[in-house]
Amino acid sequence: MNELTKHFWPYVRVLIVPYIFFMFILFYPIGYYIDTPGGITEVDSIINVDYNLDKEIEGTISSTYIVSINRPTFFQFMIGEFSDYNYANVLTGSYADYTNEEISQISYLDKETSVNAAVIIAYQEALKNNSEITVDFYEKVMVFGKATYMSYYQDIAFGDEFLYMIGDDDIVVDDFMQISANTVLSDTYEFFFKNDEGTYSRMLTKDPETLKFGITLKLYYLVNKENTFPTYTEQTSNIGGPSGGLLQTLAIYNMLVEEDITQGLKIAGTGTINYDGSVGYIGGTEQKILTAYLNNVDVFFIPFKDQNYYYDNYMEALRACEKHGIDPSGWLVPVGSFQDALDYFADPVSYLEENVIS
Amino acid sequence: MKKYFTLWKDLRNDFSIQEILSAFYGALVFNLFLAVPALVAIAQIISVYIYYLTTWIVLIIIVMILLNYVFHLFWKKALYLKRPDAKADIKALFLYNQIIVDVLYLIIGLLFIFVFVPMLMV
Repeated sequence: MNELTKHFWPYVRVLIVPYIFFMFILFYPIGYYIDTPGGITEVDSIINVDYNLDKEIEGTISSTYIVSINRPTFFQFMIGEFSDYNYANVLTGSYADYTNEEISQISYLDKETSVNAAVIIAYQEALKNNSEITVDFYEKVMVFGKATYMSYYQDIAFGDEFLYMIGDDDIVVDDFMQISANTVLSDTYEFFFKNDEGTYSRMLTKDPETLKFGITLKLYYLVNKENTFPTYTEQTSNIGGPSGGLLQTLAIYNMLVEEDITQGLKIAGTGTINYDGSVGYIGGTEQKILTAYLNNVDVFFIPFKDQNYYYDNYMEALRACEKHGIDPSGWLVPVGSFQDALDYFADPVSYLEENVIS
Repeated sequence: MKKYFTLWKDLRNDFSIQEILSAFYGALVFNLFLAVPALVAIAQIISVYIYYLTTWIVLIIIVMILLNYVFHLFWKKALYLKRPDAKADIKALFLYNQIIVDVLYLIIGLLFIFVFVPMLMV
């Protein structure tokens, strides 16, 4: 060791400053995010329904993921700029205040609730033609967002269940939509939550500027597995977010019905699924289109609601195809709901004639 | 294989175990100074261009082979600096060493390309 150090010392002395500089750009994070194309994940590798086990599914149904790097290092940011396929921008909104761990927690919560929504919609559709199928679900209001000024920020975690709060005149408010109406007389109120360890309460104080508690609550419907038939299993996955909802619904539905809706095709797509069966917008459309293109999919479902809305996912997808010289005809399928996707499978030619914008 | 062990014996005749290990640790530390930034940089390139994952695995194999070469270069240098008059054929011995490790890297890399990555990319 000593001999080597002595021998190479002149080189070490010259290189130490550039070395430290290079390590700095390798490790120092900056307040941006980068979206890059990712890959496709076959839904049946994550969710499996214990039904129709003899059925042979010839094609595949996959959700599409992109790689979203929050607070990349200088080096990641610089190399990301070399490709047209990547998109970098400043981290804004509440995400700018969240740590990477918190963003992961939100992403996981989104994915979990999305799978539940997919199961509910798919089972409800399938049971129309098969009375053997049953699905039971319950409501749960969970913490979905936190402002930096929220009291007890560290104590209340994403995904914790909101039980009730004590409002004006000691009224117990368990409907989260009624919180504003019952918190007029004071600034501080007691909120009750539940997590894995049990029930807890915290006194939340309104922010003097915004006059808000800084907590975002959201209503979810979760599957009651005990009263649901057939049973299903879900594998753990590193991929988060709600954007696989539509494809998860399609894959689960395909596992429940007798016919194979894939018709031997490599099907992918994106879009959240709402409890009424409608499809919701997603982010990173351009990178998802590129992912689909790089993976040679036969069909790609994309949310479409309003032709005149600039940020409509389908309109964004058409612009992305034009930008990268990709022909969208035949494989890019706009859908507004789960039913639209089923209509496409029933008669692809007619569906595309009626819905595709050329 | 017999020649390989004979070369180790020759090395052992010229150097004590302590000297060989000291040179080994020195080479390892110097090599780590190069390996850490190189591998972190590749990991970051992969994170941004994950859709070319197979290509990057080829790059990783090449970088690992290069790092292996540099490590043996440092090790050899450290040994010669300890005893410039050493008679053992260190060059030949380390060439065998490198080939063995390189083959191992190649097998692991190919396993990733043909087995683990396709499994990951389902």
